[in-house]
Amino acid sequence: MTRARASWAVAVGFAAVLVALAVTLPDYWVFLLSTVAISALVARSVGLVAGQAGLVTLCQMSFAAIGGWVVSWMSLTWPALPYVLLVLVGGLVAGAAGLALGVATVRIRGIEFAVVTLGFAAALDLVLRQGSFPGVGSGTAVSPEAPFDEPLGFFALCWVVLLAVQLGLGALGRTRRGLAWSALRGSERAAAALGVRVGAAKASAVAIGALIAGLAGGLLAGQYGLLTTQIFTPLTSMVHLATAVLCGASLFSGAVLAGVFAVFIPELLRRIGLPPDIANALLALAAFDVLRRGNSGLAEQLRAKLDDRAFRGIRRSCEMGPLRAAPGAGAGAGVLADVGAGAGAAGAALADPAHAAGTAASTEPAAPPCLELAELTVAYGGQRALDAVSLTVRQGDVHALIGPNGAGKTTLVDAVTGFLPAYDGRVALAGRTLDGLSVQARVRAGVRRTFQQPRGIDAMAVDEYLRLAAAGSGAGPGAVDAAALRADVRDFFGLPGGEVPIRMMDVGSRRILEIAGALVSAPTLLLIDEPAAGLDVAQSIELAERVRRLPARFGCAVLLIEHDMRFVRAAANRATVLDAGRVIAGGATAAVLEHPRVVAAYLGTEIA
Amino acid sequence: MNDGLLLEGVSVMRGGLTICRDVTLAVPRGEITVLLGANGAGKTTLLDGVMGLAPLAGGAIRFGSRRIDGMPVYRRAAQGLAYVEQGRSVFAGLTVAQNIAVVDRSRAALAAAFELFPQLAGKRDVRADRLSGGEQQMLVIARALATRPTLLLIDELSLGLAPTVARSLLDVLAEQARQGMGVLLVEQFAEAALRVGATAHIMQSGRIARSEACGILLQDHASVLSPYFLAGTGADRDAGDSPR
Amino acid sequence: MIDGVIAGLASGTAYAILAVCIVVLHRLVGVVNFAQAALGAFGAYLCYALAGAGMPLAPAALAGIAAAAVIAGFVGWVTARWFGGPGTTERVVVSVVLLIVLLTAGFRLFGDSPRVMPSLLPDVVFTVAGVRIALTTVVALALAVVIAAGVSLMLRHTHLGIRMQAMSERPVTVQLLRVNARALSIGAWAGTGAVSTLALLLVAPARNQTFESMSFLVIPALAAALLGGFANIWVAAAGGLAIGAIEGAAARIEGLANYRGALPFLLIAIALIWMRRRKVWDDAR
Repeated sequence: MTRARASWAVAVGFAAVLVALAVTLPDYWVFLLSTVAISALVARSVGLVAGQAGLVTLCQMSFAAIGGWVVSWMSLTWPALPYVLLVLVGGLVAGAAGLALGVATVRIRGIEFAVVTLGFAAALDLVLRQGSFPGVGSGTAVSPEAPFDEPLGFFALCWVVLLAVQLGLGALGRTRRGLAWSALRGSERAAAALGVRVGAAKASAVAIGALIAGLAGGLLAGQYGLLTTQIFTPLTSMVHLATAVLCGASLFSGAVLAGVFAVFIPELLRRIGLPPDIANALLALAAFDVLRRGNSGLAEQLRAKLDDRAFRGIRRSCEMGPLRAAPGAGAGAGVLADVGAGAGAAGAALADPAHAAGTAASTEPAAPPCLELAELTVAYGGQRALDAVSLTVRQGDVHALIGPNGAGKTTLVDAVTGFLPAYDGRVALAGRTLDGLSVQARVRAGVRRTFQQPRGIDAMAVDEYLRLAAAGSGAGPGAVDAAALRADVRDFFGLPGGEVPIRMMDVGSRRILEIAGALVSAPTLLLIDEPAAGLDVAQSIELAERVRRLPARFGCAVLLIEHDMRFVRAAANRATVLDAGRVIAGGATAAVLEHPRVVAAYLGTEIA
Repeated sequence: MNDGLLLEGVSVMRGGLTICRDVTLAVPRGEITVLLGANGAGKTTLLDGVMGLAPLAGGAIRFGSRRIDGMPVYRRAAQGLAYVEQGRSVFAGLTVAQNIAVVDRSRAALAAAFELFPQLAGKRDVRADRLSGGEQQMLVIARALATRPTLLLIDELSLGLAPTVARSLLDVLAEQARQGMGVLLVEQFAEAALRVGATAHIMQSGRIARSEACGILLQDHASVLSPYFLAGTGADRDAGDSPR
Repeated sequence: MIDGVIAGLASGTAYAILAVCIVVLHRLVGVVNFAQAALGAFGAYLCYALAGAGMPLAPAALAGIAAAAVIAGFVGWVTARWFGGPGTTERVVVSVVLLIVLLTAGFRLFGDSPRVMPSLLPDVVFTVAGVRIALTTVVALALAVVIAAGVSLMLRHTHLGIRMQAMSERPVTVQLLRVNARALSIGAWAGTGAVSTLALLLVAPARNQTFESMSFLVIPALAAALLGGFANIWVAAAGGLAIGAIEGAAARIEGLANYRGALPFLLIAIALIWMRRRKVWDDAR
């Protein structure tokens, strides 16, 4: 809460200063301050597309040009229409152009996307140069009506638009769509595994960014009256990109700072007798310096420092501790170890509960199958990554998938979760065939997996991530009220407070958070990839305990890939061993791990 | 031991996690030192740390009484340290001869490589990605040896190779060791490595769990080693770990 | 129409050579150089400035080429010290930063009015089967082919080229083998800078350029390089020539003439959308 309150205080203070300046300073400065707001709008649009969604864009000023063109044209054709309406329409048309570009380029990424946007910017610049902006020929300037024809009135309009955009983006940022953009930046696969519709998210980011830039262009039309192509060249787009990177324009404060730099650095240069366009090079070099140090933009750095102070003393790692009984939870599989003192005792006490569970289960009727793989075969070229693999994970099971390097475990998970274009054989979830379904469809059906979460989600807080993860909800059994589930998951894993930024969490805690995120969507099947990597012994044992209880507590079956056999013994009641794409053993965990073939495969006795 | 590799309390990080913790071991020249452990134990990360490909979280690395843990990668290589990475890192688009030429284009270097691995001589102008797994591994070793190292780090030599091929490569390494080179051999598959090695260290969860002469381990390796690979119910396993 | 195509080929050779430089640099150091043409333009304009001050054309040209090589080599040195795995965004922004700095410096030093540029070659025009071809075009075309062929051969058969290929395949392994990767990077930057200057010196006189418009010749070059996936030299070269030819042909068509500069974007967008239609996921795991 303190972070939000602090921001409000700063914002109000800033607004007060701004108004005071505008009222007291001469028109020339008011004009400049209006331009700051317009530049900040463009910077914010770059910050959204490149900073948040990770799509490097070199054509934002071209979208501004579209907005400006529409406003000029409409002002010429229908002079009676109110200016504000014109600006809005300009923004919408630019947004539509952005949507078209975003949809067309949905499969184009990274450097290729940047090249396409640069090409678009150059092409549009050329097209615009052929004629002139509407009204230029006849000398008819865009003239906003009162009160916007006064410097103060126009100033107010620019800042109101900027504020409205920020409020809109802020609201969007709390919805799934807004959070999805951040997930996109790191890895499309990881975003898809959370249930995000990747194509729609990319296109919407480009479209909304274009809309914001279009609004800026419309305001420029009102400010200049008669527009020229000089305002919207590809170079200006590039400079805005550099400035946005320098200032961290994915934050509002960064965007405003970018606007200030864009307007006042040239102004300063002019006053000391230097050519103002050197400002471009200065801003570019400053951006390079920021990147060279591996830092994020200035505003983002500041926020990180403020966060450090605000969250000092607040726990930012997952503290699981000894497991307590769940309130009203079912009996679960096997003995609930009442673990008292340290992890060593816990380790000994838990030495083989899975074994006990295995023998207990064998005297009961088998639970219905949750995941069934029948003759799953995946071939790349001449090689078979998976060769007629059949395996069943029953409801209530924690099923470990183990095997040497290159045995095909990740390929299997890819096949189950829909990341492989094609495979032979059948994958079924609770009796329903999943073959042919997309990743998102399988996520909706209740399949969730963990990935190593990349940097994209750094910008989020714990609660935001959980909300994003929950929104792709599956139809898992026992899925109750979402908030209650979230609270239960948080308590179960000892997650840090909801406001804590993920960026501040250690990597081990982030991996636990990832598992928690998968659980809040109440999945039917959870696939966990090497959860123990990098955890120390105590954490590893605590996590293994919890993984073992996931089916009972949250009603999902678990398929676990892991190399740490201690973890496997503690967490899984059943195991399947893969070697070179084939199943070489399967059954209760303890029995499998003592199977002579398995021992040989791991120790390579065959090669002697 | 002054001219070998010495690790003192080395901790190596990868992806923000500390993978190897407090590793101390020596790799003397003139013999093969074996590093065993299950997948995920941290063996590759340790080698990467020695070579400078992964950052150190603590400790010191000495090579021939010189501290190398501050040096950039190419300078460590220049000291006489060669590294054969996991997965047969041949330059796929180049021929066998060209792969060697990247290091040393003299005829002598190529001749030395073919003397060591006669099988490659007939494939001199074949693109590296057309070779079999065993031949690629030979090429990678030959290429590393062309840098004339005094110590060779080699990661998972036998991965994906037929048993006889792996054994013949290990014999080549043994011969190199006899001629004075030091070798640190990382293996997932134990028995063949133990046959050529002098000392073995077993890594588990990023730490050295046990060090023993290879001859002793070889006698009963299945039962001695499986706790480290498959975590059996022996009490000695838990006794070795202290809760943090 | 044929006349137009031939005329367009002259520019096409510049696109082709620039595209080859972009591909080589990308393969070697992993950066797509948005400033490839700007570097060449710098060298070219320096040459004109020196020639205008009285220096004979040939040494002025050499001086320009050398200057571009030095500047590019400096950039290579700066980036080699730093690049150790930055992501796509960082690499693109660095490339953009370079372009901004060069455009600013160029504008300051050389102004923005179109310049009449002395041609390196005599202004001779042949007529072959009724079609007019300038000597410059022929030479430029020959140069483009020689460069594409030369670079391919160098990469495949010289020791330096083999090391460069190795570096582009596995930058880490190559360092383990004691190859001085940094020197190779600097050399690649310097070499491509010099070659870009030569290409622009040949082609520039045919078009009335400002420093800025010359720098933006990088866009059709990028389009050509993209067609080859930033990896294939011959596709990039052929693509550059094709784009030039299409532009030239469009110059003769009434309605299209003024908009022909927008063709590269359209072509590349369509080509990319088609080529990538199956690539469902990005490469990040």
